[in-house]
Amino acid sequence: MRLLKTDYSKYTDEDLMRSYTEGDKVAFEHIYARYESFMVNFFYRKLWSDRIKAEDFAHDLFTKIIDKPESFDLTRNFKTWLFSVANNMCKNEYKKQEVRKNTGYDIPEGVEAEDNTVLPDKAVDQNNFNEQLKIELNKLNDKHREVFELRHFEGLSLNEIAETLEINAGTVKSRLHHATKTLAEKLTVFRKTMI
Amino acid sequence: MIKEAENIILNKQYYELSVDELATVSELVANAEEFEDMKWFLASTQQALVSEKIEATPDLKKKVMEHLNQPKEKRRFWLNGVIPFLLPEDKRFYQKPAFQMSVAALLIIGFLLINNNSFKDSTVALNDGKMIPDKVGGGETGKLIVEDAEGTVTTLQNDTPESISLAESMDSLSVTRSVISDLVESETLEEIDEISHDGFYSGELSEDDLKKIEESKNRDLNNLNSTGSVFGDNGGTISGKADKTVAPAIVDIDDESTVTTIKNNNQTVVNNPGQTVDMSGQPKDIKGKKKSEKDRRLKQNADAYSSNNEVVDKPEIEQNLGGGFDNKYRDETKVITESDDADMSVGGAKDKEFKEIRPFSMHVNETKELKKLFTVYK
Repeated sequence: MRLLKTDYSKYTDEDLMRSYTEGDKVAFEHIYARYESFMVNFFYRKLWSDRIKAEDFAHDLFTKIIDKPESFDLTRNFKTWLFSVANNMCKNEYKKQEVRKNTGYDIPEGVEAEDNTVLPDKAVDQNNFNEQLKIELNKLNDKHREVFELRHFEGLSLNEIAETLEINAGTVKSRLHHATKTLAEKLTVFRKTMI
Repeated sequence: MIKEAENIILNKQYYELSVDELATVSELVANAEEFEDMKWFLASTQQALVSEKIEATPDLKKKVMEHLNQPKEKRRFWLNGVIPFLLPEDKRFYQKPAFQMSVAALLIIGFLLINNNSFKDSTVALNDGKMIPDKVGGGETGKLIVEDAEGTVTTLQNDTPESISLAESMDSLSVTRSVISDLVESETLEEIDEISHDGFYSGELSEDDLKKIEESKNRDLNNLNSTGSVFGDNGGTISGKADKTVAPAIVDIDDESTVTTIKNNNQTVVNNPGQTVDMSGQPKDIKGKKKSEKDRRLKQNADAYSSNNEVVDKPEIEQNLGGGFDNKYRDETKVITESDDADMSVGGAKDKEFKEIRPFSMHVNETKELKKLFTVYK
Protein backbone atom coordinates (compact mmCIF):
# COMPACT_ATOMS: atom_id res chain seq x y z
CA MET A 1 0.00 0.00 0.00
CA ARG A 2 1.31 3.31 -1.01
CA LEU A 3 1.66 5.83 1.72
CA LEU A 4 2.66 8.71 -0.52
CA LYS A 5 1.03 9.63 -3.77
CA THR A 6 3.43 9.72 -6.68
CA ASP A 7 4.02 13.16 -8.03
CA TYR A 8 3.89 12.57 -11.75
CA SER A 9 4.23 16.22 -12.57
CA LYS A 10 7.91 15.96 -11.79
CA TYR A 11 8.33 13.06 -14.12
CA THR A 12 9.79 13.61 -17.53
CA ASP A 13 7.97 12.30 -20.52
CA GLU A 14 10.40 9.45 -20.82
CA ASP A 15 9.94 8.50 -17.18
CA LEU A 16 6.19 8.45 -17.62
CA MET A 17 6.51 6.21 -20.65
CA ARG A 18 8.81 3.89 -18.75
CA SER A 19 6.27 3.71 -15.95
CA TYR A 20 3.45 3.01 -18.36
CA THR A 21 5.47 0.31 -20.07
CA GLU A 22 5.79 -1.32 -16.66
CA GLY A 23 2.00 -1.23 -16.28
CA ASP A 24 1.30 2.11 -14.65
CA LYS A 25 -1.81 3.42 -16.37
CA VAL A 26 -1.80 6.65 -14.39
CA ALA A 27 1.49 7.55 -15.98
CA PHE A 28 -0.16 7.36 -19.37
CA GLU A 29 -2.97 9.60 -18.21
CA HIS A 30 -0.38 12.22 -17.42
CA ILE A 31 1.22 11.83 -20.80
CA TYR A 32 -2.17 12.22 -22.40
CA ALA A 33 -2.87 15.36 -20.40
CA ARG A 34 0.41 16.89 -21.50
CA TYR A 35 0.02 16.26 -25.20
CA GLU A 36 -3.67 16.07 -25.92
CA SER A 37 -3.99 19.70 -26.94
CA PHE A 38 -0.71 19.67 -28.80
CA MET A 39 -1.69 16.72 -30.89
CA VAL A 40 -5.23 17.79 -31.64
CA ASN A 41 -4.03 21.19 -32.82
CA PHE A 42 -1.21 19.66 -34.76
CA PHE A 43 -3.60 17.42 -36.66
CA TYR A 44 -6.07 20.25 -36.97
CA ARG A 45 -3.55 22.41 -38.77
CA LYS A 46 -2.08 19.66 -40.79
CA LEU A 47 -5.36 18.10 -41.87
CA TRP A 48 -7.12 20.99 -43.50
CA SER A 49 -8.59 22.41 -40.26
CA ASP A 50 -10.94 19.47 -39.96
CA ARG A 51 -11.76 19.18 -36.29
CA ILE A 52 -13.36 15.73 -36.43
CA LYS A 53 -10.51 14.33 -38.42
CA ALA A 54 -8.03 15.92 -36.04
CA GLU A 55 -9.67 14.26 -33.04
CA ASP A 56 -9.85 10.93 -34.82
CA PHE A 57 -6.19 11.06 -35.60
CA ALA A 58 -5.33 12.11 -32.08
CA HIS A 59 -7.38 9.18 -30.80
CA ASP A 60 -5.58 6.80 -33.12
CA LEU A 61 -2.22 8.14 -32.06
CA PHE A 62 -2.87 7.67 -28.35
CA THR A 63 -4.43 4.26 -28.76
CA LYS A 64 -1.33 3.18 -30.66
CA ILE A 65 0.76 4.23 -27.72
CA ILE A 66 -1.58 2.37 -25.37
CA ASP A 67 -1.43 -0.81 -27.41
CA LYS A 68 2.26 -0.76 -28.21
CA PRO A 69 4.19 1.26 -25.66
CA GLU A 70 7.26 -0.83 -26.41
CA SER A 71 7.47 0.80 -29.85
CA PHE A 72 8.90 3.86 -28.12
CA ASP A 73 12.65 3.77 -27.70
CA LEU A 74 13.28 4.95 -24.15
CA THR A 75 16.60 6.45 -25.17
CA ARG A 76 14.87 8.93 -27.47
CA ASN A 77 13.09 12.17 -26.75
CA PHE A 78 9.40 11.39 -26.30
CA LYS A 79 8.18 14.71 -27.64
CA THR A 80 10.05 14.45 -30.90
CA TRP A 81 9.11 10.78 -31.25
CA LEU A 82 5.45 11.65 -30.75
CA PHE A 83 5.56 14.42 -33.32
CA SER A 84 7.38 12.25 -35.81
CA VAL A 85 4.70 9.56 -35.46
CA ALA A 86 1.99 12.17 -35.89
CA ASN A 87 3.77 13.66 -38.87
CA ASN A 88 3.98 10.25 -40.53
CA MET A 89 0.28 9.71 -39.95
CA CYS A 90 -0.40 12.98 -41.72
CA LYS A 91 1.78 11.97 -44.64
CA ASN A 92 -0.11 8.71 -44.97
CA GLU A 93 -3.34 10.65 -45.00
CA TYR A 94 -2.02 12.89 -47.73
CA LYS A 95 -1.25 9.85 -49.84
CA LYS A 96 -4.74 8.47 -49.29
CA GLN A 97 -6.30 11.74 -50.24
CA GLU A 98 -4.12 11.89 -53.33
CA VAL A 99 -5.41 8.51 -54.42
CA ARG A 100 -9.02 9.47 -53.75
CA LYS A 101 -8.57 12.69 -55.66
CA ASN A 102 -7.84 10.69 -58.79
CA THR A 103 -10.94 8.52 -58.61
CA GLY A 104 -12.99 10.78 -60.89
CA TYR A 105 -15.36 12.23 -58.33
CA ASP A 106 -13.50 15.48 -58.14
CA ILE A 107 -14.52 18.75 -59.52
CA PRO A 108 -13.78 18.90 -63.24
CA GLU A 109 -10.47 20.36 -64.23
CA GLY A 110 -10.56 24.11 -64.66
CA VAL A 111 -13.35 24.61 -62.18
CA GLU A 112 -12.29 25.92 -58.79
CA ALA A 113 -14.24 24.82 -55.74
CA GLU A 114 -13.58 28.03 -53.95
CA ASP A 115 -12.80 31.49 -55.11
CA ASN A 116 -9.43 32.27 -53.61
CA THR A 117 -9.38 35.78 -54.91
CA VAL A 118 -8.81 38.18 -52.01
CA LEU A 119 -10.70 41.38 -52.37
CA PRO A 120 -8.76 44.61 -51.65
CA ASP A 121 -10.81 45.55 -48.63
CA LYS A 122 -10.38 42.09 -47.16
CA ALA A 123 -6.71 42.02 -47.94
CA VAL A 124 -6.09 44.89 -45.60
CA ASP A 125 -8.44 43.68 -42.93
CA GLN A 126 -6.70 42.79 -39.72
CA ASN A 127 -9.15 40.02 -39.09
CA ASN A 128 -8.04 38.33 -42.19
CA PHE A 129 -4.41 38.21 -41.19
CA ASN A 130 -4.74 34.66 -39.99
CA GLU A 131 -6.43 33.62 -43.19
CA GLN A 132 -3.77 35.32 -45.25
CA LEU A 133 -1.11 33.67 -43.16
CA LYS A 134 -2.58 30.27 -44.00
CA ILE A 135 -2.74 31.17 -47.66
CA GLU A 136 0.85 32.25 -47.74
CA LEU A 137 1.89 29.24 -45.74
CA ASN A 138 0.25 26.97 -48.29
CA LYS A 139 2.15 28.72 -51.02
CA LEU A 140 5.40 27.80 -49.34
CA ASN A 141 7.32 24.70 -50.12
CA ASP A 142 6.32 21.73 -47.96
CA LYS A 143 9.75 21.51 -46.39
CA HIS A 144 9.74 25.19 -45.40
CA ARG A 145 6.17 25.12 -44.24
CA GLU A 146 6.50 22.18 -41.91
CA VAL A 147 9.62 23.65 -40.32
CA PHE A 148 7.85 26.96 -39.78
CA GLU A 149 4.77 25.26 -38.31
CA LEU A 150 6.78 23.10 -35.97
CA ARG A 151 8.77 26.12 -34.81
CA HIS A 152 6.00 28.66 -34.38
CA PHE A 153 2.88 26.56 -33.89
CA GLU A 154 4.22 23.65 -31.87
CA GLY A 155 7.01 25.56 -30.17
CA LEU A 156 9.74 23.01 -30.90
CA SER A 157 13.35 24.05 -30.73
CA LEU A 158 15.64 23.70 -33.72
CA ASN A 159 17.14 20.49 -32.43
CA GLU A 160 13.73 19.05 -31.71
CA ILE A 161 12.58 19.92 -35.19
CA ALA A 162 15.71 18.32 -36.61
CA GLU A 163 15.07 15.15 -34.60
CA THR A 164 11.41 15.05 -35.52
CA LEU A 165 12.02 15.45 -39.22
CA GLU A 166 15.26 13.46 -39.07
CA ILE A 167 17.24 16.16 -40.82
CA ASN A 168 20.26 18.26 -39.97
CA ALA A 169 19.84 21.19 -37.52
CA GLY A 170 21.59 23.49 -39.98
CA THR A 171 19.07 22.56 -42.63
CA VAL A 172 16.27 23.36 -40.22
CA LYS A 173 17.81 26.73 -39.52
CA SER A 174 18.14 27.72 -43.16
CA ARG A 175 14.62 26.55 -43.99
CA LEU A 176 13.16 28.41 -41.06
CA HIS A 177 15.09 31.52 -41.99
CA HIS A 178 13.78 31.38 -45.54
CA ALA A 179 10.19 30.77 -44.50
CA THR A 180 10.17 33.52 -41.92
CA LYS A 181 11.58 36.13 -44.23
CA THR A 182 9.25 35.18 -47.06
CA LEU A 183 6.15 35.34 -44.93
CA ALA A 184 7.22 38.55 -43.23
CA GLU A 185 7.74 40.28 -46.56
CA LYS A 186 4.33 39.21 -47.86
CA LEU A 187 2.38 40.00 -44.72
CA THR A 188 3.98 43.32 -43.86
CA VAL A 189 1.22 45.07 -45.75
CA PHE A 190 -1.15 44.30 -42.88
CA ARG A 191 1.03 46.16 -40.43
CA LYS A 192 0.35 49.60 -41.96
CA THR A 193 -3.40 49.07 -41.98
CA MET A 194 -3.46 47.76 -38.46
CA ILE A 195 -1.59 50.67 -37.02
CA MET B 1 20.52 30.90 -33.30
CA ILE B 2 17.26 31.81 -34.92
CA LYS B 3 15.39 31.05 -31.76
CA GLU B 4 17.49 33.55 -29.94
CA ALA B 5 17.10 36.03 -32.75
CA GLU B 6 13.31 35.72 -32.59
CA ASN B 7 13.36 36.19 -28.87
CA ILE B 8 15.59 39.20 -29.21
CA ILE B 9 13.40 40.73 -31.88
CA LEU B 10 10.26 40.14 -29.85
CA ASN B 11 11.61 41.39 -26.53
CA LYS B 12 13.93 44.22 -27.43
CA GLN B 13 13.98 47.35 -29.51
CA TYR B 14 16.47 47.82 -32.29
CA TYR B 15 18.37 50.57 -30.51
CA GLU B 16 18.69 48.39 -27.41
CA LEU B 17 20.65 45.68 -29.22
CA SER B 18 24.22 45.03 -28.27
CA VAL B 19 26.86 44.19 -30.82
CA ASP B 20 26.43 40.46 -30.29
CA GLU B 21 22.66 40.70 -30.45
CA LEU B 22 22.88 42.77 -33.56
CA ALA B 23 25.10 40.16 -35.14
CA THR B 24 22.61 37.51 -34.15
CA VAL B 25 19.56 39.23 -35.65
CA SER B 26 21.44 40.26 -38.74
CA GLU B 27 20.55 36.92 -40.31
CA LEU B 28 16.89 37.95 -40.36
CA VAL B 29 16.92 41.70 -40.54
CA ALA B 30 19.35 44.19 -42.08
CA ASN B 31 18.17 47.49 -40.62
CA ALA B 32 15.81 49.04 -38.12
CA GLU B 33 12.85 49.07 -40.48
CA GLU B 34 13.12 45.39 -41.24
CA PHE B 35 13.59 44.79 -37.54
CA GLU B 36 10.27 46.46 -36.82
CA ASP B 37 8.50 44.59 -39.60
CA MET B 38 9.83 41.31 -38.37
CA LYS B 39 8.86 42.16 -34.83
CA TRP B 40 5.33 42.91 -35.91
CA PHE B 41 5.12 39.74 -38.02
CA LEU B 42 6.28 37.49 -35.21
CA ALA B 43 3.92 39.07 -32.74
CA SER B 44 1.00 38.79 -35.15
CA THR B 45 1.83 35.16 -35.82
CA GLN B 46 1.83 34.41 -32.11
CA GLN B 47 -1.57 36.03 -31.78
CA ALA B 48 -2.89 34.16 -34.77
CA LEU B 49 -1.76 30.86 -33.32
CA VAL B 50 -3.44 31.57 -30.04
CA SER B 51 -6.68 32.43 -31.75
CA GLU B 52 -6.45 29.42 -34.01
CA LYS B 53 -6.00 26.87 -31.27
CA ILE B 54 -8.82 24.48 -30.60
CA GLU B 55 -9.67 22.48 -27.54
CA ALA B 56 -10.17 18.79 -27.67
CA THR B 57 -13.65 17.55 -26.85
CA PRO B 58 -14.16 15.59 -23.64
CA ASP B 59 -15.37 12.75 -25.77
CA LEU B 60 -11.87 12.21 -27.10
CA LYS B 61 -10.42 11.79 -23.65
CA LYS B 62 -13.26 9.49 -22.69
CA LYS B 63 -12.59 7.22 -25.66
CA VAL B 64 -8.89 7.11 -25.04
CA MET B 65 -9.33 6.33 -21.39
CA GLU B 66 -11.85 3.62 -22.17
CA HIS B 67 -9.34 2.09 -24.49
CA LEU B 68 -6.68 2.39 -21.84
CA ASN B 69 -8.78 0.61 -19.24
CA GLN B 70 -9.91 -2.19 -21.55
CA PRO B 71 -8.35 -5.61 -21.14
CA LYS B 72 -5.76 -6.29 -23.77
CA GLU B 73 -7.86 -9.05 -25.33
CA LYS B 74 -10.62 -6.59 -26.18
CA ARG B 75 -8.37 -3.96 -27.65
CA ARG B 76 -9.04 -4.29 -31.35
CA PHE B 77 -7.81 -1.17 -32.85
CA TRP B 78 -6.72 -2.69 -36.12
CA LEU B 79 -10.02 -3.03 -37.88
CA ASN B 80 -8.25 -4.04 -41.05
CA GLY B 81 -6.78 -7.15 -39.44
CA VAL B 82 -7.27 -10.59 -40.95
CA ILE B 83 -9.64 -12.00 -38.37
CA PRO B 84 -11.87 -8.92 -38.15
CA PHE B 85 -12.05 -8.99 -41.92
CA LEU B 86 -12.87 -12.66 -42.22
CA LEU B 87 -15.22 -12.83 -39.24
CA PRO B 88 -16.87 -9.46 -38.73
CA GLU B 89 -19.07 -9.42 -35.69
CA ASP B 90 -21.85 -7.29 -37.10
CA LYS B 91 -22.81 -9.61 -39.97
CA ARG B 92 -24.72 -12.81 -40.30
CA PHE B 93 -22.86 -16.03 -40.83
CA TYR B 94 -23.58 -16.23 -44.55
CA GLN B 95 -22.38 -12.68 -44.99
CA LYS B 96 -19.01 -13.36 -43.40
CA PRO B 97 -16.18 -13.57 -45.91
CA ALA B 98 -14.73 -16.64 -44.21
CA PHE B 99 -17.94 -18.58 -44.81
CA GLN B 100 -18.27 -17.33 -48.39
CA MET B 101 -14.69 -18.20 -49.27
CA SER B 102 -14.94 -21.67 -47.78
CA VAL B 103 -18.12 -22.37 -49.77
CA ALA B 104 -16.43 -21.17 -52.94
CA ALA B 105 -13.41 -23.37 -52.26
CA LEU B 106 -15.63 -26.39 -51.70
CA LEU B 107 -17.46 -25.76 -54.97
CA ILE B 108 -14.22 -25.47 -56.91
CA ILE B 109 -12.73 -28.60 -55.37
CA GLY B 110 -15.94 -30.55 -55.98
CA PHE B 111 -16.05 -29.42 -59.58
CA LEU B 112 -12.47 -30.50 -60.13
CA LEU B 113 -13.08 -33.89 -58.53
CA ILE B 114 -16.10 -34.52 -60.70
CA ASN B 115 -14.28 -33.46 -63.83
CA ASN B 116 -11.32 -35.67 -63.07
CA ASN B 117 -13.53 -38.77 -63.43
CA SER B 118 -14.11 -37.99 -67.08
CA PHE B 119 -10.46 -38.63 -67.80
CA LYS B 120 -10.83 -42.24 -66.75
CA ASP B 121 -13.26 -42.99 -69.54
CA SER B 122 -12.31 -46.34 -70.99
CA THR B 123 -13.47 -45.31 -74.44
CA VAL B 124 -10.73 -42.77 -74.69
CA ALA B 125 -7.85 -44.15 -76.72
CA LEU B 126 -4.50 -44.44 -75.05
CA ASN B 127 -1.53 -43.67 -77.20
CA ASP B 128 1.03 -46.11 -75.89
CA GLY B 129 3.19 -46.14 -79.01
CA LYS B 130 2.17 -49.67 -80.02
CA MET B 131 -0.45 -48.80 -82.58
CA ILE B 132 0.16 -50.59 -85.85
CA PRO B 133 -1.69 -49.39 -88.91
CA ASP B 134 -3.62 -51.92 -90.94
CA LYS B 135 -2.88 -50.18 -94.17
CA VAL B 136 0.11 -48.13 -94.94
CA GLY B 137 -0.56 -45.57 -97.60
CA GLY B 138 -2.98 -47.85 -99.42
CA GLY B 139 -0.11 -50.02 -100.58
CA GLU B 140 0.72 -53.62 -100.05
CA THR B 141 3.22 -54.31 -97.37
CA GLY B 142 2.60 -57.96 -97.03
CA LYS B 143 1.65 -60.01 -94.09
CA LEU B 144 3.47 -59.61 -90.87
CA ILE B 145 3.33 -62.41 -88.41
CA VAL B 146 4.90 -61.95 -85.06
CA GLU B 147 4.99 -65.07 -83.01
CA ASP B 148 6.53 -65.44 -79.62
CA ALA B 149 7.63 -68.54 -77.78
CA GLU B 150 4.31 -69.06 -76.10
CA GLY B 151 2.50 -69.33 -79.38
CA THR B 152 0.94 -65.93 -79.36
CA VAL B 153 0.67 -64.78 -82.93
CA THR B 154 0.21 -61.23 -84.05
CA THR B 155 -0.69 -60.79 -87.66
CA LEU B 156 -0.19 -57.54 -89.48
CA GLN B 157 -1.36 -57.64 -93.06
CA ASN B 158 -2.45 -55.41 -95.87
CA ASP B 159 -4.63 -57.26 -98.30
CA THR B 160 -4.43 -54.90 -101.21
CA PRO B 161 -1.56 -55.89 -103.48
CA GLU B 162 -0.80 -52.36 -104.53
CA SER B 163 2.56 -50.73 -104.83
CA ILE B 164 3.93 -48.72 -101.98
CA SER B 165 6.66 -46.24 -101.82
CA LEU B 166 10.02 -46.85 -100.34
CA ALA B 167 9.37 -44.53 -97.43
CA GLU B 168 6.15 -46.35 -96.57
CA SER B 169 7.92 -49.65 -96.67
CA MET B 170 10.57 -48.32 -94.36
CA ASP B 171 7.94 -47.01 -91.99
CA SER B 172 6.38 -50.42 -91.89
CA LEU B 173 9.71 -51.95 -91.11
CA SER B 174 10.33 -49.49 -88.32
CA VAL B 175 6.96 -50.35 -86.80
CA THR B 176 7.83 -54.01 -87.04
CA ARG B 177 11.11 -53.40 -85.39
CA SER B 178 9.48 -51.65 -82.48
CA VAL B 179 7.08 -54.54 -81.98
CA ILE B 180 9.92 -57.02 -82.07
CA SER B 181 11.87 -54.92 -79.66
CA ASP B 182 8.99 -54.89 -77.21
CA LEU B 183 8.51 -58.62 -77.45
CA VAL B 184 12.17 -59.39 -76.96
CA GLU B 185 12.33 -57.06 -74.07
CA SER B 186 9.37 -58.59 -72.30
CA GLU B 187 10.42 -62.19 -72.85
CA THR B 188 14.10 -61.91 -72.09
CA LEU B 189 14.08 -59.41 -69.33
CA GLU B 190 15.87 -61.71 -66.94
CA GLU B 191 18.62 -62.53 -69.35
CA ILE B 192 19.15 -58.92 -70.21
CA ASP B 193 20.09 -58.36 -66.62
CA GLU B 194 23.30 -60.21 -67.36
CA ILE B 195 24.22 -57.48 -69.76
CA SER B 196 25.96 -54.65 -68.08
CA HIS B 197 24.91 -51.06 -68.49
CA ASP B 198 27.57 -50.40 -71.06
CA GLY B 199 25.86 -52.80 -73.43
CA PHE B 200 28.29 -55.70 -73.17
CA TYR B 201 27.44 -59.19 -72.05
CA SER B 202 29.17 -59.83 -68.79
CA GLY B 203 28.56 -63.60 -68.51
CA GLU B 204 30.89 -66.32 -69.61
CA LEU B 205 30.41 -68.17 -72.90
CA SER B 206 30.76 -71.91 -73.09
CA GLU B 207 32.89 -73.66 -75.63
CA ASP B 208 29.82 -74.70 -77.57
CA ASP B 209 28.74 -71.12 -77.76
CA LEU B 210 32.11 -69.98 -79.04
CA LYS B 211 32.10 -72.67 -81.65
CA LYS B 212 28.63 -71.74 -82.80
CA ILE B 213 29.60 -68.11 -82.99
CA GLU B 214 32.54 -69.03 -85.17
CA GLU B 215 30.28 -71.11 -87.43
CA SER B 216 27.84 -68.30 -87.66
CA LYS B 217 30.51 -65.85 -88.66
CA ASN B 218 31.83 -68.17 -91.33
CA ARG B 219 28.37 -68.68 -92.63
CA ASP B 220 27.76 -64.97 -92.74
CA LEU B 221 30.93 -64.44 -94.67
CA ASN B 222 29.79 -66.99 -97.19
CA ASN B 223 26.49 -65.29 -97.62
CA LEU B 224 27.85 -61.83 -98.01
CA ASN B 225 27.58 -61.96 -101.76
CA SER B 226 23.94 -60.94 -101.48
CA THR B 227 23.51 -59.32 -98.15
CA GLY B 228 25.87 -58.53 -95.37
CA SER B 229 26.10 -57.98 -91.70
CA VAL B 230 25.47 -54.52 -90.61
CA PHE B 231 26.24 -54.39 -86.97
CA GLY B 232 29.31 -56.48 -87.14
CA ASP B 233 31.14 -54.73 -84.36
CA ASN B 234 28.24 -54.86 -82.03
CA GLY B 235 27.73 -58.52 -82.67
CA GLY B 236 24.32 -58.42 -84.27
CA THR B 237 24.40 -60.24 -87.60
CA ILE B 238 21.76 -60.23 -90.28
CA SER B 239 22.43 -62.85 -92.83
CA GLY B 240 20.78 -63.75 -96.08
CA LYS B 241 21.00 -66.32 -98.75
CA ALA B 242 22.75 -65.27 -101.92
CA ASP B 243 20.22 -66.20 -104.50
CA LYS B 244 17.01 -66.03 -102.54
CA THR B 245 16.69 -62.45 -101.57
CA VAL B 246 13.18 -61.34 -102.33
CA ALA B 247 10.74 -60.08 -99.84
CA PRO B 248 10.97 -57.09 -97.63
CA ALA B 249 10.41 -57.12 -93.93
CA ILE B 250 11.15 -60.77 -93.43
CA VAL B 251 12.78 -61.11 -90.13
CA ASP B 252 13.24 -64.29 -88.19
CA ILE B 253 14.58 -63.96 -84.75
CA ASP B 254 15.48 -67.27 -83.25
CA ASP B 255 15.72 -67.23 -79.55
CA GLU B 256 15.48 -69.73 -76.85
CA SER B 257 12.34 -68.10 -75.59
CA THR B 258 11.22 -65.97 -78.48
CA VAL B 259 10.54 -66.82 -82.07
CA THR B 260 9.46 -63.98 -84.32
CA THR B 261 8.74 -64.57 -87.94
CA ILE B 262 7.73 -61.92 -90.41
CA LYS B 263 6.12 -63.45 -93.44
CA ASN B 264 5.45 -62.44 -96.97
CA ASN B 265 1.99 -62.06 -98.30
CA ASN B 266 1.21 -65.70 -98.19
CA GLN B 267 4.63 -67.04 -97.56
CA THR B 268 7.20 -67.01 -94.91
CA VAL B 269 10.71 -66.80 -96.23
CA VAL B 270 13.42 -68.07 -94.02
CA ASN B 271 17.09 -68.09 -94.77
CA ASN B 272 19.34 -70.84 -93.61
CA PRO B 273 16.74 -72.74 -91.68
CA GLY B 274 18.16 -75.09 -89.23
CA GLN B 275 21.29 -73.11 -88.71
CA THR B 276 20.04 -71.31 -85.70
CA VAL B 277 22.71 -70.73 -83.17
CA ASP B 278 21.68 -70.81 -79.57
CA MET B 279 23.77 -68.33 -77.66
CA SER B 280 22.14 -68.81 -74.32
CA GLY B 281 24.34 -71.69 -73.36
CA GLN B 282 21.34 -73.93 -72.66
CA PRO B 283 20.97 -77.35 -74.33
CA LYS B 284 18.81 -77.28 -77.39
CA ASP B 285 16.68 -80.18 -76.35
CA ILE B 286 15.09 -77.95 -73.77
CA LYS B 287 13.26 -76.19 -76.50
CA GLY B 288 11.02 -79.20 -76.93
CA LYS B 289 8.01 -79.11 -79.10
CA LYS B 290 8.16 -75.41 -79.79
CA LYS B 291 11.48 -75.71 -81.54
CA SER B 292 10.52 -78.63 -83.65
CA GLU B 293 7.25 -77.00 -84.57
CA LYS B 294 9.07 -73.88 -85.58
CA ASP B 295 11.58 -75.77 -87.68
CA ARG B 296 8.84 -77.63 -89.43
CA ARG B 297 6.99 -74.45 -90.21
CA LEU B 298 10.10 -72.70 -91.43
CA LYS B 299 10.97 -75.57 -93.67
CA GLN B 300 7.53 -75.57 -95.26
CA ASN B 301 7.76 -71.91 -95.90
CA ALA B 302 11.19 -72.20 -97.40
CA ASP B 303 10.00 -74.90 -99.76
CA ALA B 304 7.02 -72.90 -100.81
CA TYR B 305 9.15 -69.89 -101.34
CA SER B 306 11.78 -71.65 -103.41
CA SER B 307 9.13 -73.19 -105.63
CA ASN B 308 7.40 -69.91 -106.37
CA ASN B 309 10.12 -67.34 -106.48
CA GLU B 310 12.86 -66.59 -108.82
CA VAL B 311 15.34 -64.11 -107.62
CA VAL B 312 18.00 -62.10 -109.21
CA ASP B 313 19.73 -59.89 -106.78
CA LYS B 314 22.61 -57.57 -106.70
CA PRO B 315 25.43 -59.16 -104.81
CA GLU B 316 27.09 -57.76 -101.83
CA ILE B 317 24.65 -55.23 -100.67
CA GLU B 318 24.84 -54.36 -97.12
CA GLN B 319 21.57 -53.78 -95.44
CA ASN B 320 20.86 -51.53 -92.64
CA LEU B 321 18.77 -53.19 -90.02
CA GLY B 322 17.18 -49.94 -88.97
CA GLY B 323 16.20 -48.71 -92.38
CA GLY B 324 15.61 -52.07 -94.02
CA PHE B 325 17.91 -51.19 -96.93
CA ASP B 326 20.04 -48.37 -97.98
CA ASN B 327 18.81 -45.83 -100.48
CA LYS B 328 22.11 -45.66 -102.27
CA TYR B 329 21.61 -49.14 -103.62
CA ARG B 330 18.07 -48.56 -104.72
CA ASP B 331 18.88 -47.47 -108.25
CA GLU B 332 21.61 -50.00 -108.69
CA THR B 333 19.43 -52.96 -107.95
CA LYS B 334 18.73 -55.29 -110.79
CA VAL B 335 15.33 -56.37 -111.85
CA ILE B 336 13.79 -58.87 -109.57
CA THR B 337 11.21 -61.22 -110.93
CA GLU B 338 8.94 -63.20 -108.78
CA SER B 339 5.46 -64.56 -108.59
CA ASP B 340 2.35 -62.54 -107.91
CA ASP B 341 2.04 -63.91 -104.46
CA ALA B 342 5.53 -63.06 -103.62
CA ASP B 343 5.35 -59.65 -105.11
CA MET B 344 4.68 -57.27 -102.28
CA SER B 345 6.59 -54.20 -103.21
CA VAL B 346 6.96 -51.72 -105.98
CA GLY B 347 4.89 -52.34 -109.08
CA GLY B 348 2.29 -54.64 -107.67
CA ALA B 349 1.08 -57.74 -109.48
CA LYS B 350 1.24 -56.26 -112.93
CA ASP B 351 4.65 -54.84 -112.65
CA LYS B 352 7.05 -57.68 -112.46
CA GLU B 353 10.00 -55.45 -112.58
CA PHE B 354 10.95 -53.05 -109.89
CA LYS B 355 14.04 -51.17 -109.10
CA GLU B 356 14.05 -51.30 -105.41
CA ILE B 357 15.94 -53.65 -103.32
CA ARG B 358 13.77 -55.16 -100.72
CA PRO B 359 15.00 -56.46 -97.47
CA PHE B 360 16.22 -59.94 -97.47
CA SER B 361 14.83 -62.31 -94.94
CA MET B 362 16.97 -61.70 -91.96
CA HIS B 363 17.96 -64.52 -89.79
CA VAL B 364 19.47 -63.46 -86.56
CA ASN B 365 21.00 -66.39 -84.85
CA GLU B 366 23.10 -64.94 -82.13
CA THR B 367 20.70 -64.30 -79.38
CA LYS B 368 23.08 -62.71 -76.95
CA GLU B 369 24.36 -60.32 -79.47
CA LEU B 370 20.85 -59.46 -80.45
CA LYS B 371 20.13 -58.67 -76.86
CA LYS B 372 23.12 -56.42 -76.78
CA LEU B 373 21.90 -54.80 -79.91
CA PHE B 374 18.49 -54.09 -78.44
CA THR B 375 19.97 -52.91 -75.23
CA VAL B 376 22.21 -50.48 -76.99
CA TYR B 377 19.35 -49.44 -79.20
CA LYS B 378 17.03 -48.73 -76.29
